[in-house]
Amino acid sequence: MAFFLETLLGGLMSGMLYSLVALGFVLIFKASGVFNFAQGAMVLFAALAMARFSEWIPAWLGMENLFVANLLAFVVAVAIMFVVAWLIERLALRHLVNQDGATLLMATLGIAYVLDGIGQTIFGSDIYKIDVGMPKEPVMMLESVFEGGILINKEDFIAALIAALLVISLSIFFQKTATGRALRAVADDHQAAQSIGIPLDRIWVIVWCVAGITALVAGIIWGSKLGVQFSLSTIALRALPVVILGGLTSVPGAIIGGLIIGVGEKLSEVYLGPFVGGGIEIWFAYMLALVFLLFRPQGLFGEKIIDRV
Amino acid sequence: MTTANILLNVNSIEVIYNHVILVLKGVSLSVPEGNIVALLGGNGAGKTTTLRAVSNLLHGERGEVTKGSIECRGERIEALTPADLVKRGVVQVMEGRHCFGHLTIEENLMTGSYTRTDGKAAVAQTLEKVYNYFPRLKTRRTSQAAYTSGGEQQMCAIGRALMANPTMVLLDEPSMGLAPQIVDEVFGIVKDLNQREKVTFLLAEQNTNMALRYADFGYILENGRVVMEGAASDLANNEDVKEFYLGISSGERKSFREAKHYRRRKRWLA
Amino acid sequence: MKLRKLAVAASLAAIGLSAALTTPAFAAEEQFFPVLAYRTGAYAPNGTPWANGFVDYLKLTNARGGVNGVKMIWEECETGYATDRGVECYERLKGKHGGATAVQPLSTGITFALTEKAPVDKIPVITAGYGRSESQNGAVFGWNFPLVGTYWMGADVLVQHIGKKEGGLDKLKGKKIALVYHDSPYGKEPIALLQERARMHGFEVSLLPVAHPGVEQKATWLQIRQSKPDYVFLWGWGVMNSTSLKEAQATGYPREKMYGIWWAGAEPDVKDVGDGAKGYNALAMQHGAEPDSKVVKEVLEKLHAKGQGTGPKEEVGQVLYMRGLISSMLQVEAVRAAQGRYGKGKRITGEQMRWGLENLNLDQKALDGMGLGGVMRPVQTSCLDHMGSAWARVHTWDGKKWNFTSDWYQGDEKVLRPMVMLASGKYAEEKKIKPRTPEDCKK
Repeated sequence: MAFFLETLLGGLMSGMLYSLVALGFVLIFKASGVFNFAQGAMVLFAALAMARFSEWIPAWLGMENLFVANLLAFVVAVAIMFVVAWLIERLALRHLVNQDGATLLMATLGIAYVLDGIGQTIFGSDIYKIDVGMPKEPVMMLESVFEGGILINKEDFIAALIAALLVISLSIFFQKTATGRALRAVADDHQAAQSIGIPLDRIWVIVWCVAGITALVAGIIWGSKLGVQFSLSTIALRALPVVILGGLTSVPGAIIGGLIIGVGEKLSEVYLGPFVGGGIEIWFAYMLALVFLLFRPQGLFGEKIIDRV
Repeated sequence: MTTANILLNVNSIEVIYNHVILVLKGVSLSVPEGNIVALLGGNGAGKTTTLRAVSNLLHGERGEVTKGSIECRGERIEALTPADLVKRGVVQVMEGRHCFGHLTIEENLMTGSYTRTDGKAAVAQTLEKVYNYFPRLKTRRTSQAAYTSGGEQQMCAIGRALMANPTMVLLDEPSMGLAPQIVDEVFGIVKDLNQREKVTFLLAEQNTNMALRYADFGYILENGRVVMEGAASDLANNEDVKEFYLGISSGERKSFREAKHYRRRKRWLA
Repeated sequence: MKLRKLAVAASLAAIGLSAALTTPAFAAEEQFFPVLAYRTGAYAPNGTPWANGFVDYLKLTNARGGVNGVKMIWEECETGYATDRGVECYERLKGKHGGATAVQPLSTGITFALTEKAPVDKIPVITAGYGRSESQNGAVFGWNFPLVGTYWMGADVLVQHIGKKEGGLDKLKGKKIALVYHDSPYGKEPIALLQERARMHGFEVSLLPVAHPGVEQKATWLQIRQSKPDYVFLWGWGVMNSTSLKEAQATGYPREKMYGIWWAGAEPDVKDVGDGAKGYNALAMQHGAEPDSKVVKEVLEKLHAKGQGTGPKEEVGQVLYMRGLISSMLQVEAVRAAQGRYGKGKRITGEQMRWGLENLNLDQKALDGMGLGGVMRPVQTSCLDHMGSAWARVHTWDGKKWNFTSDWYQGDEKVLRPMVMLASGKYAEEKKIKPRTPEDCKK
């Protein structure tokens, strides 16, 4: 029982991390109908910026304080992500207004390659550390209930908390502010939004900025966990099934989809893996996504696909 | 009509889609301040394109004004963005209503105030005003627009445009797909807005009968050209208009054979 | 239209990037070595120092005056540790500058793919410390050279080591060993040997594959936490290694009980884990981190001090840098051996290179002369033994650096030989290869 709970918790925690990346997908898709393949590259880029600046800034300023260094690096990384967002709108999206989805998708693929390349050129392709003071050692809980207790990872816990916080602030932003409303309006109907004076170009910059911040947060958490290296970029591929499951247009869907996939993956690997030689984790998410594509293409929480007549 | 109070002036514009398809072949019209001007014609006559050319929404459809000029209060506006135009008080209500389906009615209305810079209180006031004109919207304020009726959506679209505090509304095909009594209601409100709020309307409409009843002036478009213009009452009494657009003729009802004759003539006209 | 522009721009950027990473070949037409490296992608942190050491030794050889005056030239190609790209690189470079002398793919997957191509092109495939273990048998695998170490040998030494820790191999009975491995030809290599040894000594092996690139190991380590194996063997590469260590830390598995293969025992694997990796052990493929060795000092002095070094100079002497350097040294020495037979100061062909590789004899004196004394043990190959040395030892991470913590072990011939013969025999049968006899070797 204790082991089952541990597996479940472990699944929930890694699911939360998938959700963070999935969120970035959903944000951009919601607001601009673009399936942003570059989200993973953005995570890597942001994490690289964060890691390198938290290393460079103390060296430049000659100071020791880890907290201040991280804070400054975070600010710089946010600024960099804003510039990236602005450039993407300026150089790519602006010229592709009202093109069909496949075109935009290809464009984001191109953006992903460029970001990966530029990121590694500027920041290097070594493994880098983000040390935001996350506790690494496990703690045992409920030792009185279960023999040996349940092992909980504090780092995962904090990560989940940050993710939850991010989701809440994003929901508030989307539901309660004029800009958030405009973003949702643009997502629903580009042209109508334009007709009432919502400037698409600015909205898109804002969306990519928000996605950039999400990428940065995801990058920091993943980076602090795994080290900042190239494979952060491929993590986005694992978030793909999450968005298919949760629905491309649903923020809560991204969260719950992530949790379901996280838990499903771990439980199936641990309990079914031994019978098929392991490795279920690798394809579980994709298979689940496939099933959903066949039977419920809008995902669990996605908005019904209403085709205009 | 003196030039002083002409709000919008369109001078022989040509519009080309996708670099090849010529849709407007020299359309000229002018809209005096405080009027309702109707733009009439059948499907594909170029009404919507004319409105889009004015509101600068053509780009999204790969259309372009290649000749002629469009002036708003004497200022050339072809190069502005739709957002700039909304700030100058010109808003389009698109054909087919285009409400934001996943937003509530109230959220839909609020998006209309995106370009406003005169503060929350003023916006709230406008919202109240819109609810006064469209009491039906107030009762549905929390429902998602996708789940409201066509009439309510049309009202929502008009109300949303009003939230920008416009001086002129480009209203595209408001009667489309609505029940006759709803059409009446919508047009009544338009007239009301025109008279009490002094909002100018440029109205594209296939429902000629309805449009001419409420408009001050009318243009008839066919195949990208203005083929007739005049005061609404004159047009309504014009024999050709009556026959081709209002479906009534001076004498007794046409026989089936004559109806065929009518179709032939229309084709010739085109 | 816009899209095409974008695609063109993106591919230009990509080309520019890879071009910037490729060392331009020298104008002089001499002994040519392709360098299949990976400096980008998921495995770059490990591939880069290896490539730097590899290229630095070629530079050092030239700085020393070449091999009897013959200059080394090379061209780098980025494989990204992907088999298809590796084969592409091989095809692109094999014919350049008069033909490749030898190829070192630094990937077991690419090695598998090249094993059938090499005999046709007559280019030896050197896989120092990796590749297919049965290719030690030069009679069947005429063109493969798993010099200085194979995975079977590595796994064998690890079992010997823990056997010694437990107080004898017989004490391993009933023990549980979990193999956490990269789910690729590389990671699967040790399985055969471990199962053989398990049968011999009565311990239990559980197999836990980790998918590329290896950043998702939560379930793996939960299983480990549940089954509580006595030892964990780590057969990872790149980011998978540090992830394993972090997950071990997160699930509280003692790092002292973890043993990595020599590809899981370098600085990039533990650096960003820091204290979390303290106590973790890994095999040293003869050498460990050798910052004080003579050859390192020579590289620093002759290359890096003049700004001609490859990569950062802090990295010179690190584990993977040394691996690359030694791999490069082996090919240079094979050139020297071949020149001894086919003419000093002459460019040698791939076939002659093979003879050189089969007649390597690096004794202590030769090693000392190259500044590698104390770094590695003598190597002597033959036509039938393409490995040449089966020595390894264990080193342990103390939170800051790697320290040797064991004596030298030698892979047990009695275990390895039959396995090599069986597997290579099967291969020969499958591919209809007639094994070479000792007489063939004399030709």
